[in-house]
Amino acid sequence: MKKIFIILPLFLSGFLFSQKKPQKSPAKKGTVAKFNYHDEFRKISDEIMTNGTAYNNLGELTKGIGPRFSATPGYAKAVEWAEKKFKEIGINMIWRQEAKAPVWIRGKESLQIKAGNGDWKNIRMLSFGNSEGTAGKDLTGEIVLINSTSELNAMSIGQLKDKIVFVNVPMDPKIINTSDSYLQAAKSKLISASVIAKTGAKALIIRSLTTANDDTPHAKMIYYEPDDKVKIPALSIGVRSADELEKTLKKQKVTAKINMTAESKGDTTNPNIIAEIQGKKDSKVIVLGAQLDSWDVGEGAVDDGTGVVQCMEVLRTLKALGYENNHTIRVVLYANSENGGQGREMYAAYVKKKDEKHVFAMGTDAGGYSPRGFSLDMSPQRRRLVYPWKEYFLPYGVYDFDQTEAIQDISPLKKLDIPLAELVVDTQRYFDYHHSEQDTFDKVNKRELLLGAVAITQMIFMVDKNW
Amino acid sequence: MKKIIGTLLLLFGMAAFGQSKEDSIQFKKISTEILNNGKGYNELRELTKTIGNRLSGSEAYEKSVQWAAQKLRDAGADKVWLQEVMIPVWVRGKESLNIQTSNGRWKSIKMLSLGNSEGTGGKDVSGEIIMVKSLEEYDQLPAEKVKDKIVFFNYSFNQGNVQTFISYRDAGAYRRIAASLTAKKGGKFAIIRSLSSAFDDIPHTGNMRYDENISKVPAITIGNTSADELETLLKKQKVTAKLNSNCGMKGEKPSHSVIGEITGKKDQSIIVVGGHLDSWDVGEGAHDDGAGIVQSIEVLRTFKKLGIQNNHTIRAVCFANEENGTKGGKEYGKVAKENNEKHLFAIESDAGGFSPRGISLEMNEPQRNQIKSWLNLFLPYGVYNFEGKYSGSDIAPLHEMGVPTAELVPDPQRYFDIHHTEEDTFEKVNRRELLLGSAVMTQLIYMIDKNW
Repeated sequence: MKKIFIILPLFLSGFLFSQKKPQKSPAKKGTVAKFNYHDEFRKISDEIMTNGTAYNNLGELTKGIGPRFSATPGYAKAVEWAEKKFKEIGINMIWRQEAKAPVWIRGKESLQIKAGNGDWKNIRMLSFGNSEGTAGKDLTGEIVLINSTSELNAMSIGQLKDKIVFVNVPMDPKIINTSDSYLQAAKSKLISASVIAKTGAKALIIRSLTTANDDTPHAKMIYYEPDDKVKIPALSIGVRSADELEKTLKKQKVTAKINMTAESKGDTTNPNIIAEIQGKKDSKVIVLGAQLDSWDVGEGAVDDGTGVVQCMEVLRTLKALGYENNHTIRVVLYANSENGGQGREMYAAYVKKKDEKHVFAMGTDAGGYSPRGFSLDMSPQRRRLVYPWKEYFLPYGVYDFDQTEAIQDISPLKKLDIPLAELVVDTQRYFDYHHSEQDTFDKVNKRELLLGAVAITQMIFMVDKNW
Repeated sequence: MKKIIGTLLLLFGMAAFGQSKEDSIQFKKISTEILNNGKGYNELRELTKTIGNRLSGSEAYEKSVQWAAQKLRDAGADKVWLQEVMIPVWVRGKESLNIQTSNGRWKSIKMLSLGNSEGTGGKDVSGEIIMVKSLEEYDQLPAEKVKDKIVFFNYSFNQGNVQTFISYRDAGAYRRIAASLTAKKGGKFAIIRSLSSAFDDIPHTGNMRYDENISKVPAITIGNTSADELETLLKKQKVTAKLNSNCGMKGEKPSHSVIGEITGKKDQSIIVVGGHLDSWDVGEGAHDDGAGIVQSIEVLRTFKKLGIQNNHTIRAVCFANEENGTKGGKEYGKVAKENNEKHLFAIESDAGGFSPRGISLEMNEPQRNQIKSWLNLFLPYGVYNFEGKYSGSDIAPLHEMGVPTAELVPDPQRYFDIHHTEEDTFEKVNRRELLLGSAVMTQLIYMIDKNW
């Protein structure tokens, strides 16, 4: 008890101290910092906040190209565009890395419901990504509402046979960090087509995983297990429709009619785009990444156009400031992040095969909102090397270094013992738009987007200087 | 040094253990109640969409007074009343700005008169535009170069500052004093580049004032795009401007601030939470400051709903006339003094309904340090910054009377894109961000009520 007593206050007072005396260098006594990090941070921030091109680039990517789902012409255009952008900022080393990409076509889709003996009514919906369809035929069945795992378990065998299961579990609004509530909801077995299929049900309808209170359906990737005997179609509906459907189901029997032509058509390849500024001192790699693909609805603005243009901004800024980087600073724009993750696996396999030494890997895939911190997925020892840098970040609103998971496209690099980090941004708005037609350019604020790029560039700078 | 660490250790030791567990449970209850059941967002929709903008002296403002009183009653306030205050009446009327370049054609420019500015009495006033980039540059201009001219103050909002309020204050002088500066050297009127972080052509209005004994020439503002274009034109050629505007002051009239309170269980000392009910006459006054109003009402509602036994009286004040006079705040301070009311603390929310990041504290060091010692309670809600030392203009009179004051510090990146413009609409407010701000104010007031 006593021990905790001492350690906790020490930690807290450290936090306060760094706030109070930002002018004090955290460098060990006796060592003289080569750089005035506060000045260097300011230079980076001024360059980006006044001359940053990320916002205009995002306009081009979202309005000029739009959605860029794997294996579509949109993705091919985004590849050409990204290469052109890297060339424009003066990058010489640009290459493609082909990865497998599943071909899935949404096609036509519709959901109708009928309460009792009433009329059929159209409901806005989206098929799950990679879901099987109904081959264009009507699939009709009675809807059964399931709101929890215990409800599902309480069903007797056969009770769900040939039914259409409707899972109406909202994202928990009281969790402050919406990424946490999303992950919690997304992990639920209830929204697994594989789990639901085992009950004998014919199809799965879910309430969209969203913080919005509208009727926009949000896309979701499906998970079939290899041993699934049947692959049932799955789709999501907006929260308003979900609320209404729940209300109706409490009063009467509701029948659904699903018609989806969605189908998987094998594989093709899509490239990762890699661009780098080679190290002046060595060829160890600092890798920064974002996903170039998006869902096939909306414009892929906050998911993850913002990450793409921030990565470009980092390289542009290092060039504009004439920064002499010790290590190679590399950007990877990952293919197929949304419905397969083939791009990230390919990059990790490449790093392993080439035995390239990676000092650090960072991702930005949580929307172009105001930065708040970095999630540090690395050994506690290494994390402690980052903590003394907090004071430099604080004037930029970046204070939270306590999260420890990097889960996006850089996660396969964890197996290779590479220290990982992810930009942590304000999470309140992201899941209002995520994976939906609402994810458009106008949802992004220029200053918030640029400030994220500032924080990333500052972190890359610190790692390059110190590791 | 050792001593400081020792004191801090002790302070944090107490905060981290002793009461802190109970407090962190209460913090969670507050945020859960607000994020699950908060009414602030729907109330803001009512205020912005059914009443809309509500400049002092307008019919809409009077409607918003009745609306706020009703909402405070709905929130469960023990007592709701209107506090009468004389407010200035300023009316915009029709207004237009045209410019003429050497090709002879007139072109209309999107503009807004600054609040409290005089107009041209509906007549055209025209003249040649001269541009200055800074006050220093203007100071150096001899009067004969300004006489009968129109002065274009083209000072840019500094995008480099992370804290946009710093850029806003930095550019603020241009809006406040440009008219009198222009008149002093015989200029006809002033055009000011808007105080805006946006990259668009939306003009941002705002308050200005006239020096005494100087003739009152009009002051108008134009958006960033128009300002850039005008600058480009002026570098190449002579440009004439023509202003026609009907705006002007129309005396004073009585209006009201709206007050609701939950009576203290232990004593009648007062904790104030507030925002301002008036807005500019463009847009819907959503972030400025509909957000602060509904957040303040949410604080009362949440105390009632959770049955928190407040020691002191907790009072929500919807101040009148913040934008062009701060008469509501001044009257509130005056009445508090006359009635010898003991105010323990006052906090205002007037920086938009964005995600909270901190609380700015204008008070003495021991008070500040005590609030800072609660940092670990606030961190899970994204609130970490207690370094600011300012507070809102409506509670400045209370501060002058020695009351510790504070202001909610939300994320500042988007505010000045829309501040004082037609773009300040309900759609720009995010429900979770707004509610989180209410949660943090409720949490702070809970702590103050318990500890002060």
